[in-house]
Amino acid sequence: MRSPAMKSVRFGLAVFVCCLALTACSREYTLRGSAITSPKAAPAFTLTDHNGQPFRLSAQQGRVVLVYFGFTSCPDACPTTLSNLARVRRDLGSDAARVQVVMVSLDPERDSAEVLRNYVTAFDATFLGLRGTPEELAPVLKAYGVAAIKRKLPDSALGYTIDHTIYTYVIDPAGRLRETFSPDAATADVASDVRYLIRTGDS
Amino acid sequence: MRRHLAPLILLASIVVLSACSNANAPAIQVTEAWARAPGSAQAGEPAATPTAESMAHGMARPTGAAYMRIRNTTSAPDQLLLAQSDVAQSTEIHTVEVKNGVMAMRPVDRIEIPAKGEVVLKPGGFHVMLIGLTKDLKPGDRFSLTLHFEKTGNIEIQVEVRQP
Repeated sequence: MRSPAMKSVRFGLAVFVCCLALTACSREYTLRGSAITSPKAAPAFTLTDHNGQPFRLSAQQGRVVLVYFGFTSCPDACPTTLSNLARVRRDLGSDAARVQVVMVSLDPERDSAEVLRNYVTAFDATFLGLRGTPEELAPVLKAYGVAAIKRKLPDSALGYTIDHTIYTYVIDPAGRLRETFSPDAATADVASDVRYLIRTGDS
Repeated sequence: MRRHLAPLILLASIVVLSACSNANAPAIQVTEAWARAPGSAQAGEPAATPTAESMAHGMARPTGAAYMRIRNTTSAPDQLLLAQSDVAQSTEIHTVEVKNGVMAMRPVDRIEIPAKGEVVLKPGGFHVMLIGLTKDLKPGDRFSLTLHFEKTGNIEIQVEVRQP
């Protein structure tokens, strides 16, 4: 014996559940870094990787490229970032094959190809260190809005350091610059965004 | 009465003296010491040999950083002035500051450890920079680091190398 009142409650519930399901489906994924509101093609560049091979950003289409600008005698932000990005790659499992992490050296004077290779591959064997002459680097830094200011340290055995921008730039598989992360970003957030971009960022 | 006084004074002195040299609470306690040494040679690969290019710029060897928690149990502030280790050609105390997304690393003269307080050397702040690593440091390795404090003097600690 079911009362009409009971029936309408059931109907109402069913409608409610459907609405919930629909909102869940249509909810846009929100990038968790500092998202770029109208993404454009990431500024193109060609530099030399730590194996002496040319690295063209345009040749990376179809993969998510995480670009970091740093140097090997950087004590803090650089190892923190690369260490976190190595964890992101581990957390991505099979999706990691569609991610390329690169560190563009801001210190080509000290970061020889060998020094750079030893450094970046200590974090993850697939990471690439990129080098360029000061003339090659300057337009890349300008295009990405990266500050790199050489500071003399007369009292330090280092001789000099480089004050530098510490963001990681996230480029989607279609080659668009989508967002930036700071070194303290949660690796789960970076992994989540990378996974999302691998699935959707082609178009 | 007099006869009893002398041993009493002696006993009291011993008590006071042993309180002063109480080994249970060292003035400075250092815990959680760890280091990052990225760019040391990879497993199965010889340590990076300096190239003419890298030698010319005095940076033939990689750098590392050591972090730790330093606790001052005394009621007077103390200063960390120097650190020294035979795993690096040079050891300096540095800090980093971030302004508008730009990070700047600077050497510091000292780190003050406040009375009954602590300072944590950690990524994003103070660290002991190991410049020009002379040893190939792998995760799990341990090395000794001597910290020189203004009041407490030298303290030797063991630092564990972790995955960069």
